[in-house]
Amino acid sequence: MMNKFILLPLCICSVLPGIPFLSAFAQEAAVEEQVTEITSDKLFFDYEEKKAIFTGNVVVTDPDLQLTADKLVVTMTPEDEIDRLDAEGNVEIKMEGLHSRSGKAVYTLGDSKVVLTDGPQVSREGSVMTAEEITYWRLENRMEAFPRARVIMFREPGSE
Amino acid sequence: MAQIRILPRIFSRGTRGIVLCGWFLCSLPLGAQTDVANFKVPDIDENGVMLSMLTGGSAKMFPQKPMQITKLRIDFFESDGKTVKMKIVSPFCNYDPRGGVATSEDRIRIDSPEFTITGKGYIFESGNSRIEIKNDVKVILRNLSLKTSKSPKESNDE
Repeated sequence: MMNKFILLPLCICSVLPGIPFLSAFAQEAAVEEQVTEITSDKLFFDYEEKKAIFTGNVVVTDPDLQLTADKLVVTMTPEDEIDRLDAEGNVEIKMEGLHSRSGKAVYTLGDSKVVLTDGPQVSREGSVMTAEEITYWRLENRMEAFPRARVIMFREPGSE
Repeated sequence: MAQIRILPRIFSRGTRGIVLCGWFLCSLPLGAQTDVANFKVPDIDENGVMLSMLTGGSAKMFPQKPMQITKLRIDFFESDGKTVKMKIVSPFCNYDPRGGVATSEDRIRIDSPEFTITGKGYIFESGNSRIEIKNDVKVILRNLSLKTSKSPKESNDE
């Protein structure tokens, strides 16, 4: 009888073969009117510092990802384009079949990289990954977790 | 990179509108209280093109106190001087022309083809280009992809 949990200490590179197609299809369908919504209790915007700071019950709803956090800092480039998102406090992100929880998350749009720290865990299709830091490259569907990476795989009761 | 030059426009042009409003209202003769109703403050460039139009239902000015503006609306125009590029609406605000600070506990709505921002209660510091919306913030960004740094339109064009 196999154990319910299989613990694998590892540094992982993960590929999600079906997801890119589905994601591309969804994006194509949404091209006509793609809306990103950010709600929060407060917003502070400092143009000279190129920062927009959302605090309290922050929710980002986008066709490509959903994010909730206590605080979200949007930093812009000198050209006034979005450069990165820094989320803090009870951060949850859902994207491409992944569901992450962490204390902090940094998303840089230039390389579509998400770095999760402060007790991160990522769930996907019956497995949970934890580590001190988990990095996910969205365009490449690649993930790296270290140090102390651990994956817990859940199996259906009675399955071989 | 995504073409999302959004909030800066509020400041680069919104600041100018608010400052113009302050200048216009301060230039009126002051008694104990001066009231102005249904005022309009156009901002026209050297070529005669309308850059923005600030309108208000009323403005009350008090000595040594912030003025009170109702039904504030600022329209910002495209280079043709006619097409509205962005619109800011608030039912009420206090404006202190000395510090260039507009405050309100009322709602604010900022609209453009690319985004809509709404909230309740705000502090707008025109001097250092800061705005704080204190409650119920909602920002809607249109045609921005958070998956890449490019908007869907840009990605398709390639």
